[in-house]
Amino acid sequence: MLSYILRRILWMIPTLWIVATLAFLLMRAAPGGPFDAERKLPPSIEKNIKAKYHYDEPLTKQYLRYLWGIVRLDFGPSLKLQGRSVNEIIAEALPYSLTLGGLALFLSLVVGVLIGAIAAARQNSPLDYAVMVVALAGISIPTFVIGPLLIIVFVFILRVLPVAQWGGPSHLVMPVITLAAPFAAYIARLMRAGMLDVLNQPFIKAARAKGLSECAVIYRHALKVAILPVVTFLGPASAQILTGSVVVEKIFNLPGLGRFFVNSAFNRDHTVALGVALLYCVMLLVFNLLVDISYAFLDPRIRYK
Amino acid sequence: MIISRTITCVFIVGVALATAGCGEKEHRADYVFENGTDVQTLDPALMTGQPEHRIASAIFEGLSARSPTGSEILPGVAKSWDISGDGLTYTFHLRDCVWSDGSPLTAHDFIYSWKRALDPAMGAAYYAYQLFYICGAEDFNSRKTSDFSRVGVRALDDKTLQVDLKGPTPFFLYLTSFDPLFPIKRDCVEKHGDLWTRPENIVSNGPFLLKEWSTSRRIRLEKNPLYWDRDNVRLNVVDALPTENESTAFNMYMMGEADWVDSAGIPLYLIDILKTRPDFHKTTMLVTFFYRFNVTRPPLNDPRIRKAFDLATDKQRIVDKILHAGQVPATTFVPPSMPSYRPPEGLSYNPGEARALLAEAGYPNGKGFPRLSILFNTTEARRQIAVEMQAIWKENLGIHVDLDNQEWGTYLNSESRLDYWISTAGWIADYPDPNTFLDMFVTGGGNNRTGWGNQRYDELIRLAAGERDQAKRMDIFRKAERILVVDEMPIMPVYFQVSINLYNPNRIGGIFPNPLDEHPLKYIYVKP
Repeated sequence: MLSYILRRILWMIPTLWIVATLAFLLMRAAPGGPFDAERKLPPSIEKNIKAKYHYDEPLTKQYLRYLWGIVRLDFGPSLKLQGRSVNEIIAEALPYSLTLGGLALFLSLVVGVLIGAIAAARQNSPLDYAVMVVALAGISIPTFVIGPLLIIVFVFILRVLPVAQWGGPSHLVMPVITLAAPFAAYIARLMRAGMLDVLNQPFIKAARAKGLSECAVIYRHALKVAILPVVTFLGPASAQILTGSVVVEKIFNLPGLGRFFVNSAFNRDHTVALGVALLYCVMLLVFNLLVDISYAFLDPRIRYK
Repeated sequence: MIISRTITCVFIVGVALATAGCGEKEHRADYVFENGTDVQTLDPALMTGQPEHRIASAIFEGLSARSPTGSEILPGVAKSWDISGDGLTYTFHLRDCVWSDGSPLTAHDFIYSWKRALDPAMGAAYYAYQLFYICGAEDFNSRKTSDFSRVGVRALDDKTLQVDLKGPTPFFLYLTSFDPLFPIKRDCVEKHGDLWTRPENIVSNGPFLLKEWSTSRRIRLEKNPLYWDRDNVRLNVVDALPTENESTAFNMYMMGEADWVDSAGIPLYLIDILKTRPDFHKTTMLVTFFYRFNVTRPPLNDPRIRKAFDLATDKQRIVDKILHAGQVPATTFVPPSMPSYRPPEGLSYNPGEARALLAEAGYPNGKGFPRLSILFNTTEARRQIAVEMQAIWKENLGIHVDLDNQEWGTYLNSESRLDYWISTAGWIADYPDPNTFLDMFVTGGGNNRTGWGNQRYDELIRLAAGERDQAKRMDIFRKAERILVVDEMPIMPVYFQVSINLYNPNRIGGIFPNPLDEHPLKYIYVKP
């Protein structure tokens, strides 16, 4: 098991190198540069700016400088937010995204697993249909519709929640629900499918034959196996939800990391764009590893060598 | 069992996260305004944007300062100044005022700050060229000389600063009230390096102090108890919010969580409804929206074709149908609200004449005209205008143009490489003088981007720069502008922008609509 984990961690290095290189090349291939502006700069000033950020060096040298930065975990200065380093930007914004994403992940797991399991246990009942219709709606309605709908209801009609900004717990209610809704819906559907699959398996029939109550059958035996597809989904989902969502952050004006994914690309803020891309990549790799490890605990049939 | 344990575990983590993320509720600031986006820097030597300027002009003060009505220049750190007869030498007499750390502010502080802004090693000083009106400044910035004593600025004593200009620059006092010329405290910069603008380090001299700077969350300012004119500063705590989403900014204003929001926080489709409300404030700005023609590409190298496009454009229709807020159709490039300037008579809508010109140039009813495209960057208003333009030219000229929508960075790149046919653009005055608009189009100018050049035009702009008599100078500008928008037309003016502010006049005072859309925090107050 340990050697498996070590091997996986070692494999992350070439993966990250490829992602870093591709991201670098793509970013530099995009037309326009970080120092272009609507107001053309006098050549002397443009030259000074390029020298400051080493943009006057040949591309290969810049690439090596960038790789060496990654090795030292230093992504360099932001090209747009002056006097701020990429590390600092991430350190400042990530905790907000982690808080918001952590709560949303938690909410979507609880709600998704619960209603998915109930729907499966009551398969083809009106309850099942109702839950699945809601879940389908949750997947298909985009967050930029759910967010404003919540604002209309809770802010403008009921007047119980603040409209935006980071602040007390009440500020988090709408963003967390908005962020969690599509994930909860997806988890519910995965859970229901997984549960239906498991409930027809011989070991469940055996458990029932032993005379266990339906509740015990579902919670002690079926759930553990039925949740596997959900766990698989959780790998990429966690990386996505924890690094922030630009839509939710913009609608509720939250200081998370999500907006940097989009803004840095538009502004050609190369260093920030590459920094957040690599952060996302690392989180994705780590969560996928965690998911694979957790299989061994959840399903006795899976063993790693 | 594992599942229930996991769920309990996740639950505990969730609750811990929830409580960790939520601080105690704070008091609301006296005045909260929507600042549009994150500030990129708070170092006055490095900044270029409006959001940065709003904060910088609250925490710093230059030799001169701007009045809340935008129409006058007031004394700032300088209590008075003398201008020599030829308009080339300015002598500033500084008042006895102090930095926020209590140390006296002297003429040497300005020399240090201006030298720093011009220093090529500063790198990202985008607006350093605002200092290029000073003798020797450009040479110092481009490393032609490394001797700062050759730059025309000196301290006659601690409280007297003298500046030599290259030419009479009637708007120079306006520049001394602008960000790159603000004073900066030397020992603060030298001690903290890049981190000197952080709230815990910064030393400043303006009416407010920087208390908090959280990226993407807010900037908090508090009244500076050491500011020389503190008795006239009435706000104690001010918050600036970097809300980027216009609906969110608008919602916050509607729910009373923000006191002031400008066009960046007002959805276009609501303007018709908002127009009649008492908190809707509108004024014309020194901002022109225009189309560039790439004159290096035939048939746009023919002025008759360019004029035909202009004559065929019903600008009133664009303003009424798309913009709603009362923008003014433009027939000149310099807005008529420019102080002490009267623009020349431009061309007006005349589709018949447009068709005649087009036929004269060899394309009767648009027959055989090549397929051009309009380049624009992705914003809703610019897209709608381009679509309308497409329809208008089809109707009036029989010409079909394509739309070429590019994201901002790509758009800028295409425009500066002259890789376009017709391109949409806007220009905001840097200072209230026609020069800020007209010197753009000198041959080979960095902001020209049309490939157009005209010797007579270049000469007039040069003449204006050396002219001391204000009335004569304006006459020269008028002649130059006539070449630009009547004779040659490398650009087509479309409309003059208006600024829209939402604030409750019964609650907030000290804001005066003005063509620069600048509202110094120093003068704003909350009505009892």
